[in-house]
Amino acid sequence: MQERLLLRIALAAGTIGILMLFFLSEHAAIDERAIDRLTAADVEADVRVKGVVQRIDDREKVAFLSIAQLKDIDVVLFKDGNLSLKEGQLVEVIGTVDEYEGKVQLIGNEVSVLAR
Amino acid sequence: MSLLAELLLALLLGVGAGIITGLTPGVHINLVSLLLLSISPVLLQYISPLTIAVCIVSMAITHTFLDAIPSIFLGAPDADQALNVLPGHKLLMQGKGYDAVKLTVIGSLGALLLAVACIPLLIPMVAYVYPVLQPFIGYILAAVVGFMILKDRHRAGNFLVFLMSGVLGILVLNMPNLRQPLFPLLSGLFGVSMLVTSYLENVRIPRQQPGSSLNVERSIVGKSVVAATITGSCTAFFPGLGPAQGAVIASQFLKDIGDHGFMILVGGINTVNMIVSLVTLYAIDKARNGAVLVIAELMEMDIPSLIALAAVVLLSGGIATALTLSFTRRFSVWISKVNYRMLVVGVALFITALVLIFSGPVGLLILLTATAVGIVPAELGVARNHAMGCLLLPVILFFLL
Repeated sequence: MQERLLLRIALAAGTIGILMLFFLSEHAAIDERAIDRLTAADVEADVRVKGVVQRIDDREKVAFLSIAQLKDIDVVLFKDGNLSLKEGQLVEVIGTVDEYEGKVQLIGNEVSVLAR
Repeated sequence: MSLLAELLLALLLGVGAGIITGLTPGVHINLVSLLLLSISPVLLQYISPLTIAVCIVSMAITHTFLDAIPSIFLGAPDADQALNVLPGHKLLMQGKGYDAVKLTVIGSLGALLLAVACIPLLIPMVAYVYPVLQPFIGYILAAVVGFMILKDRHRAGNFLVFLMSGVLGILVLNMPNLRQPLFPLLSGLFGVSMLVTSYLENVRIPRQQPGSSLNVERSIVGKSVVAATITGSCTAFFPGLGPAQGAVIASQFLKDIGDHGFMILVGGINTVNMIVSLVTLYAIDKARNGAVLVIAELMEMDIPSLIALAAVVLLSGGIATALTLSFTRRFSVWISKVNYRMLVVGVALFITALVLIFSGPVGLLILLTATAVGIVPAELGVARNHAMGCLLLPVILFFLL
């Protein structure tokens, strides 16, 4: 195969693939999960959970939240600014399931307030 | 069973696992380490955490010796050996596949001995230098990348490959619910792309010389081993900067070492990186790779544990040297008997099947895209190491933004 043709095909395929992956990453749905259904089997899975903020432990570079539905779950947030959450707010957390000392927790990537 | 017997058995099991991970394209030590971690609650009822750590370290060290074989003979490298594919393939095409692997073994063993001897110096160096460097890591990495892109006349090509692989890396590493994202990414960029090029060029592997005809100047061996130890130690400070990037940077300062010296260098950095990761775990409590991360989960790294694991490094390094040379002799005989084009297709299909198993259909799309991007440097005539942008660009952005 001519080198120039192979280069064109590779560049086109690479670009199309990158665009498809961009589309996939933008539209990949992260499943909403009930807190009481999260188990150690979900570790490393990305999930979306909704719940009411029960407790906030705001430290220098990290904040620990406890959010609750029927059951509560601890959320670890690595901060790069001030935390504007308040207890009692309904929030949605997108994060990765993790296990610490035998207990399932979330490493939060994104928190949005649904109701104040 | 006495503790010593238990540790020796763990070492041998680790060496056995390292043979499998090292020789099988796509099967990484992180996978086996995570498997051990997942069954550790059961294992720890019968054996100590140190025993599991011994198994992991001996596997990792054996792997860093043996992974040169699929990289050179099959063109199916893991990330750490990616840069050895081209000079290794060149020697393979001259019938010197055995010599190519032997060069990486010289680097691995030499740098292993030097790095273990330097552990008392490395501990304070890592503990004091890392906090000073930490705020500047992003800038230093950006400067390294800028240097690599601008260092030769193919600047536009270098930049294009770095940018495409970098964007691909960002997308893949941020893809939700994707398991083993690095596997399809690195296999495509450095493995399958090389196999596709070999297939299309109708490469025929010449009959291999069964023994060594190697004649490398001692000064080149010495320079390369020392450079591998220094570079391998430095890469421990920089997340995302692996053995491959370290080798490119080191080779800029060692211009007269040639392909032979470069292969010694890459082999050495690969092994030193693993040893220094144990030191960083002790000195700054940071795990620089998946295998050491598992050790960190299992046990507290203290001086007696570090000394025990250094002994394991030495012992498994010695065993791995003999094993690698023995396996390479067999590969040298075998490779010229098989139909190389069929072998290329077989390895590519094997990697594709593993990607489907580990990462699913999205992994397959990543593999295809990464393969296409991995073909670009070969066709543009630029160095394939710029495709390491897939790791470097996300790491730089993480530190700078």
